[in-house]
Amino acid sequence: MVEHTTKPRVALLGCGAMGQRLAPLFAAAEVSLWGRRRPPTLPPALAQLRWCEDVADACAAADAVVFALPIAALRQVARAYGAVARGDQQVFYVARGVEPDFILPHQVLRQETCTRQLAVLGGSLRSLIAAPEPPSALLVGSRYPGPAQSLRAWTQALGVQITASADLVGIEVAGALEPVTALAIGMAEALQLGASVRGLLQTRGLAEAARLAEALGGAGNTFALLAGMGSLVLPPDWQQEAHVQLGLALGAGQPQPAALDAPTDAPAHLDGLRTAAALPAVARAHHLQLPLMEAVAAVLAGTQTPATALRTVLQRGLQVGEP
Amino acid sequence: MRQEDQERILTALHRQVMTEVVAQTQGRAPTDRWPLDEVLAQSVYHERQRRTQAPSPGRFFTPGSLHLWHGAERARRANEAFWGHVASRLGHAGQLEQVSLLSQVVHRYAFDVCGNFDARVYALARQLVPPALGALLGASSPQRLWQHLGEGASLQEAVAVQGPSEHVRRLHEVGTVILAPTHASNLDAVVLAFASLQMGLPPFIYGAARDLFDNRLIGYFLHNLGAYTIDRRNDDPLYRRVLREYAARTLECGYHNLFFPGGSRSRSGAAERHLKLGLAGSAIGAYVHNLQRQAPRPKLFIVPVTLSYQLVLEAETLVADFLAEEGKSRYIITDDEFSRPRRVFSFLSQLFALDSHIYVTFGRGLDPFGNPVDDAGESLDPRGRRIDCSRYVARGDGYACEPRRDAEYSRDLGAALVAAYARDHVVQATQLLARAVFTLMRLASPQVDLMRLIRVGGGPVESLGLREVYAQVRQLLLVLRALAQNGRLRLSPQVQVGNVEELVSDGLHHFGLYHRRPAVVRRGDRLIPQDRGLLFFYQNRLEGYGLEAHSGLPPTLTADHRFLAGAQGG
Repeated sequence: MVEHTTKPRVALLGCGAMGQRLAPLFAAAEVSLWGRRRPPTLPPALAQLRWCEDVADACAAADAVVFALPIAALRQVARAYGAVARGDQQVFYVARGVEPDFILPHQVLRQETCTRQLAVLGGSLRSLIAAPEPPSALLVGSRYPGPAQSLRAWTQALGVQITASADLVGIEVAGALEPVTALAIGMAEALQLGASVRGLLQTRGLAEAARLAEALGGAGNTFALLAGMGSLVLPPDWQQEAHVQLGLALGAGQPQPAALDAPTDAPAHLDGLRTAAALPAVARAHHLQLPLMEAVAAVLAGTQTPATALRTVLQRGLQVGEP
Repeated sequence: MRQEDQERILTALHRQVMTEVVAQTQGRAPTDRWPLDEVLAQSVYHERQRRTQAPSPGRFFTPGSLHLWHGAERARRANEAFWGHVASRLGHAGQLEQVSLLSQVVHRYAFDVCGNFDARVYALARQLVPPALGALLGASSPQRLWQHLGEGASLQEAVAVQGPSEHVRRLHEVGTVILAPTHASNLDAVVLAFASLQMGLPPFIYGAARDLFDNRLIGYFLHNLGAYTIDRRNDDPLYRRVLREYAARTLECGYHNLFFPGGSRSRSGAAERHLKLGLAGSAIGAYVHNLQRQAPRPKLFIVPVTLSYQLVLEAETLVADFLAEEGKSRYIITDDEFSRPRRVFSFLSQLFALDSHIYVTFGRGLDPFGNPVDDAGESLDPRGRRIDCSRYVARGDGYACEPRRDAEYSRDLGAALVAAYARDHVVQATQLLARAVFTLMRLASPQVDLMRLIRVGGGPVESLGLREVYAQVRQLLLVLRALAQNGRLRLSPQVQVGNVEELVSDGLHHFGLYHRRPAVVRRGDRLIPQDRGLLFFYQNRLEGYGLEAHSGLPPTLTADHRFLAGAQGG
């Protein structure tokens, strides 16, 4: 845990929606803010923070660094941070998704910096971004005990419920695969397959994600916590989620959006496209059968129609593993 | 080790362990009995367990007489008397007496562990390197050894040392080095001693299994060349603490160390992936203490060393143990090929006669946190930028150990070592041939589970066509050469440029000369697997490189290389 006799110093990287949601968590700290472009007017949550023109300036003296960035921007910023990173700094991040070849966010940070005390902030990111108030419950995934301890200390006055998990890989995989399941649900809705199919797809998506996480060194039971089950319960506005919207469009036979032509260049809010493109190879490498995930990948690649793909999945029912 | 250092280390070790144990017991809820007696009771229990497993007491020193040898029987009686006394006092001893008993136990463990280094013995060994090491290796008739050496063979030609030698030498000047080698055979320590002499490295101290000291000749040299004793049968947490503390203290005093992160020899033949990093964790503790006392040379470096054998001396026993029907392998094997001088001599003779090589590949140094270091001993981040590794253990204005944090650092170090072992392994003809034959066997019997395939065979596959084997070897070579090009592994010169027929022939030749039953033999244009266990053993050395992707078969072992894939616990 970072010990302080004065206020802790935190570098917040990213001034978009995620940065605004996370900033209140660090109200007890001295926060330096960096963003790719400084907006003409900073939103209220960020207005009082010290603005820094470059990453190194924000991070050099920090006790903790918070990456409030999507996966697409993570590596470049991590590389800049790496030039000033120190071994005693704690790093928090919310990036969801994967890079090509299924490189997880913590792997990106390990490849670009010397820091070890990495902590992913998990739980349902939909509620994290969409809710008007700061998060009241957070899952902190880290192999090291320090980050969760620090976050508890800093958010004590806010009454945030911090749940610590050592299963960083499981939480990242849960976050990465959640939008892929959302795509399948959108397609099923468009095909009017009904609520029970929706439930089956959600459950299947969770089970397949747990299998993949275990193959990558995570723990399957992480999916019983906020990282998995927490996402299982659909919020009232679930149909507005970007991936569900895309799935609806695909299931309705609408023209393929431009985002599907180059999944690796998909906009940040459609990180599920990148994940889906990387899934077949990682499943093969670990000798896994992930019918739902592979079905979504096939639809996005244009090799199967949504109806055919989902029919294959539904024939498997809830059976997970070898037939 | 210098005598004054030995005494200082033992004194500091004793003080540290006593302080920690007493402090720990103070945290417990008060009972009628002083909690120290639980620590003592545990020690008594573990000593009884150890004795049931190991009737031979081996070398055993009494406090204050480091250089005395006890005869086996006298040592056993002294040992029994001591522990009998401790056991008899449990339940009766007051607080002060319990502390005194604890002190005696810690003393006893410490003296059991510590070794000695005699520069005169070391100089003698250095002058007589080939025959001295040969005698150590074989403990066999010197007459026969001299006779063989007259034929011109030498250990120097058989052991090929490679890697960044200047870099490794520089690290020894900058800080304290821990050599962390793979462990395939009991010959490893001696091969490493030879290799380090070849590299011009200073001597190192290392933990040797206690049963190795039962051989008086080997024991004498081991003791005086810096070996300290590790009693693998002693599971007492207090003993383990003394061991770790001893290793840490030697590091703090600047003594270069060697330890095998895999713990014991690889039973499956595969490279280590599951490491025991307790002693490596001592490096972090030693580093913190060096920083706290502002030592002039505080840095510690861990150098991975990968040993690659064409043939493994104890392969038959090791793989039999791995495949043992009860599913549990013996952690300690003493009745193997290494314990039979004739087998050792035969192994070495074949090695020399075949112009075969043991490759000893030194890797680039790592800091205690798994970061690579440059020639000046400065830690580097993944982008090659220099970093201050002391920040990993910084707390406030100083430095401190934190057990859970440091355990994760050790895991990262372990991951870096595993990556180095994979990268620096040298593929040789026996592994290539074994892989090809075993893959063909599996492809011919896809429904047969691995254990059955190894123990009983696949049924219809009694032999394989030579052309078929050549094709498989050819395919494997393509993949292996591509991997070598990408720096994922190394190839012996023969595998690098040799043609398929030559490599198969060389593999068959090696298999035919040493093991009691060859792994595979040739009859005309057919190859007949004769010892599937050995085939499995040698092919496992190529697990973990993704070669199964080309055959469509799943891996034979679990990801940590500890169990058969799909087996219980895997």
